[in-house]
Amino acid sequence: MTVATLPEAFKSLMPFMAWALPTERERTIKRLASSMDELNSFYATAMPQLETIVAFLDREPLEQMSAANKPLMNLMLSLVEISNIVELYKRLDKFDGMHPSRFVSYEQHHS
Amino acid sequence: MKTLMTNKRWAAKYPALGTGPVSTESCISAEYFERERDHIFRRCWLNVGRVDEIPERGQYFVRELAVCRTSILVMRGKDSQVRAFHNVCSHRGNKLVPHERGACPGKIMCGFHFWTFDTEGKLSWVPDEENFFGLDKSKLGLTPVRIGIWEGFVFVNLDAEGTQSLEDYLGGVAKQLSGAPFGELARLRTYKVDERANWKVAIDAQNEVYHLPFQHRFTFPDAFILKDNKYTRLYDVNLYDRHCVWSCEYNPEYKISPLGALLGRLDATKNAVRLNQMIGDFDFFLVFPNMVILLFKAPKADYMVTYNFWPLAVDHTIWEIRYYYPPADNAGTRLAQEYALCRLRDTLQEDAKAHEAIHAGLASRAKREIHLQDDEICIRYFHKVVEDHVGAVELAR
Repeated sequence: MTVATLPEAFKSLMPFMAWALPTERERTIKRLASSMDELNSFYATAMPQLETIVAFLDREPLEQMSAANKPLMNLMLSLVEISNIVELYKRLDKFDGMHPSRFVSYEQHHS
Repeated sequence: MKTLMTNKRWAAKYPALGTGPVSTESCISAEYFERERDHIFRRCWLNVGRVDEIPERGQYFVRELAVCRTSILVMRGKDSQVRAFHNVCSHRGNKLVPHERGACPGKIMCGFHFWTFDTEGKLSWVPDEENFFGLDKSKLGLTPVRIGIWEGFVFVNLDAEGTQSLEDYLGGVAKQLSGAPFGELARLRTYKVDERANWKVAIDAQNEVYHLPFQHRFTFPDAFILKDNKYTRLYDVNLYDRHCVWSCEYNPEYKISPLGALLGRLDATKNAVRLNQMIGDFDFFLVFPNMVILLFKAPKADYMVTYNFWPLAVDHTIWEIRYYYPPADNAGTRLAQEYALCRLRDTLQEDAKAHEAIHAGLASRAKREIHLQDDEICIRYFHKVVEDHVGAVELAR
């Protein structure tokens, strides 16, 4: 499998390409397998670029997003996925809920 | 601020409901659960999906209604009409459709002996029919189930003798939400959570916001108006005939996270769906017996979450959660929706953990009653409606 690449302007996100995951389930699994340092590092790199990335992605209609830009979108969805831990809990052990694996998630086409 | 901070408003609005403790036995008694099957789930209208799941003729979905010990097939006929049937073949009782959803080209076939039904449920073909004894195909269609559609929500009612229409059953809920543009929202995500808890325990845990500053101290402590910056107060409560709704007002001093604030700005949707039928900024409609419609106002467009609580046993429930947003038309909106979704999702995971902990506590029978404050009035009302259907519970020794 070849690793997807990113536009030149966003090359600093290349070390985080393992986060370019298309479904919530995959993003959650990746989050649960990550250390606080890994989450902080991804957040610190991605968050300052979010606005530029959204503007870049919005040059084409969302529904017709090109395959080349999807990894970038999925990276931003992963930024959202980890944001509760980084911004609210600030520690991996603070969240006191049911294990997320028991929230079996289905993307929009299923019900 | 519109919310009044006076204490004990709702008991004054609904004095007949009383204020005493509520028995917990109905949540842990297996015998009571069996009565609930008959007197609630086999009598009441139950939401099983939305019509937009089957927009095309011949499309169908199946819902396993374990609590009613049946499987339901909902199908859009060649004539575009949506019908519901027991998912049971007329020949030997095999399950007709063994999968969750699909589309048929005009006929649907049982896998056992290929007995074939048309999209209106009529038996159209029997292999080797000549070898049967006086088979009258016209009387051997699929067994219909009463179906009703309200604002795109599909409901079924397993009481074949029942006569109350869905619209009449929904009463005040239907009136309040009449014309709400739910069809302009699209399902973004579904969760199914298998929980070791009674279905009413799970509903009760959701059916108030008193717990927000405490249980959700990390996720949603200050989303809604607080009295003295500490305690939630509801903006409004309405008890309808068996259903109810409570509403909250957002807290203008809500501390939004950096990402939430940025995405709020980047959300550039032109798809500004507005749910003008709402009462507060956040409405929680409990549609008896097991459905909740949550409506959220948001700066750019309103949205909806639904819950369906499906009991499997007295201590076992599937909690289905569905998120509906206006279809995202740009990346900022899509990310803002995911942000709202993840924020609420974590909160619901906190709730789900509590469902099991509470159920275990009640099952110990260490406590026989729960004590409700005024803003928990909808829990009190829900238990009263259950009792109105099922009868009082007998205390186990």
